[in-house]
Amino acid sequence: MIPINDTEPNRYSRFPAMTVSLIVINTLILVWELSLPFDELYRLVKVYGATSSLIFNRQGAGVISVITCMFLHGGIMHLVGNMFFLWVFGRRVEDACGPIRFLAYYVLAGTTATLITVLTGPNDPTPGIGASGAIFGVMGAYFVLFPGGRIRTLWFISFIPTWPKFRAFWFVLYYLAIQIPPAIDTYVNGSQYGIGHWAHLGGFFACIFIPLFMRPEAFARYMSDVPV
Amino acid sequence: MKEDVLLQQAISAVRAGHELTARDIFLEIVEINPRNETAWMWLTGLLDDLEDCIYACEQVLDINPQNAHVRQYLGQLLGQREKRREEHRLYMEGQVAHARELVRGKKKDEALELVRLLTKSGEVNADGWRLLAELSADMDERLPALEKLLALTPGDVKAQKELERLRHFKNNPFDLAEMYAEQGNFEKAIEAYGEASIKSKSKREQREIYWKTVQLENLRQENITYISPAISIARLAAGPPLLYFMLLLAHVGLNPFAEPNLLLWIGFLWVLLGGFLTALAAIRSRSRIWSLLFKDVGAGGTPAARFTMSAAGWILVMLPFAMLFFAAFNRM
Repeated sequence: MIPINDTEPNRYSRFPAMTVSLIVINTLILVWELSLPFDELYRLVKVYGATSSLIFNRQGAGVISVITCMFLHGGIMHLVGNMFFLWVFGRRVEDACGPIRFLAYYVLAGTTATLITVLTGPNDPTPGIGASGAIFGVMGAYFVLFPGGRIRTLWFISFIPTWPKFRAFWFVLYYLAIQIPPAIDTYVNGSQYGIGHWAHLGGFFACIFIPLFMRPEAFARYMSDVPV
Repeated sequence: MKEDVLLQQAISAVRAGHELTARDIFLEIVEINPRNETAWMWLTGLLDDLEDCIYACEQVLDINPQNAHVRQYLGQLLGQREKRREEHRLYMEGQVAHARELVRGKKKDEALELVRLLTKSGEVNADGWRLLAELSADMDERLPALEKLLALTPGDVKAQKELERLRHFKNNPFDLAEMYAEQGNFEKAIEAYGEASIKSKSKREQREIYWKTVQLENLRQENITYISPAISIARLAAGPPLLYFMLLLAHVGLNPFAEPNLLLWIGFLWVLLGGFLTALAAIRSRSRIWSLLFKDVGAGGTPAARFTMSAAGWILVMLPFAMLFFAAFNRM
């Protein structure tokens, strides 16, 4: 189930400048990554990916890697998947916050994702890359602000593509729920999935801070219990 | 010659008991010759209005300063005038106090009506004008009320500031509209946007006004809760320090006691202050802090003041972040 588009319109602004900018920046960085020789790419990921053991022991790029890891991706499919989610959920969250505050929230969600990853696996030497932690934060914000929003998705039923719409509440809840078993497995048994499930959960946790980043009108709507 | 004849006629009319006729003739005489002492003398006793009588006495004394009788009479008249004025003043004070009582009793509309009635004569005291400026929501009523108040009490700094603010709004309806919108007074905000639309010169500005008006119409229909500017400032100011704190936690490996560099922790206070300033600059409603820092003109400062505050806030926010990244860079 891949999200394709958010079917609801924007209310406060017409163009999601920051969401589009983030997509463009992430894409350009991946293009640059792909142009690097393998050993340089390896070194790049080692230095600028968020490695729990290095962060926990106050070594390496530390806070710089917390930021840079959000802009590095492991391949085209990794990027495309993340950017679809960012486009679908980021557009209206940015609308409710304004571009600058949205960026601040995005970075905050990415940072929370890394912190939770470090907290749950302080000795993990694997560098974590990808915007998914921050994007889960954006999904969480969408979950809080627009639970009734309808998300157009792409499903393949026996190789036949369909485009059903789902309520954002159920869609996000589904994606949240499928993170929990592997996250527990990773924590309890030390299993390796190659996916930062704790980062996703950590990013989602950042959604409790979204009221601090909303524009005044949107916040007033939220407090009035009317659609944001 | 004609003057003497008229004088005889007027005196005869007085003696015959035709006082109104006599008064008219005396008035005709002083019109012909404003220096006729006898006519003015008679008029001091024939005119009805106290102020007119005083004027007539003053004319007599101007022509003949030695007239002790009229001087004494003028003294009496002036005493009367003073007494009447005092009575009027006390009456007005009583009415204004009554209006204040009505305000305390949550009867603002009644109080406003009463103050409007009292100020119509123009003889109300400073408190009456102040009350009108406080109660009225109409800019065209508040501005002259404050001007009158300042004419009576020129040292009233608060009124002076309020007047400056209202004048600013008068000239910048866009600012006024944004302030009303933030206060949750959507009706007034839409009205002010309408005013701004008349004054706007560019198509771009008109489009923006249209966009904002549509938004406000929607908000008005939805019955949105009013959020106080203090809450908005506190809420928006909390974002940057939270982000800094999270990044700092990552920098110190989740152990706050591991960082020997105190500057980075002090940076948190800088971000807190910077975040507060940027939030303050972003909120257009009037705030007490603006009164302290700037001159409290307009909807929370002039555009230049807002820009300065916002820029200062951003510098304060960015500096500790830069320091943090520099520290991380050094550790690489």
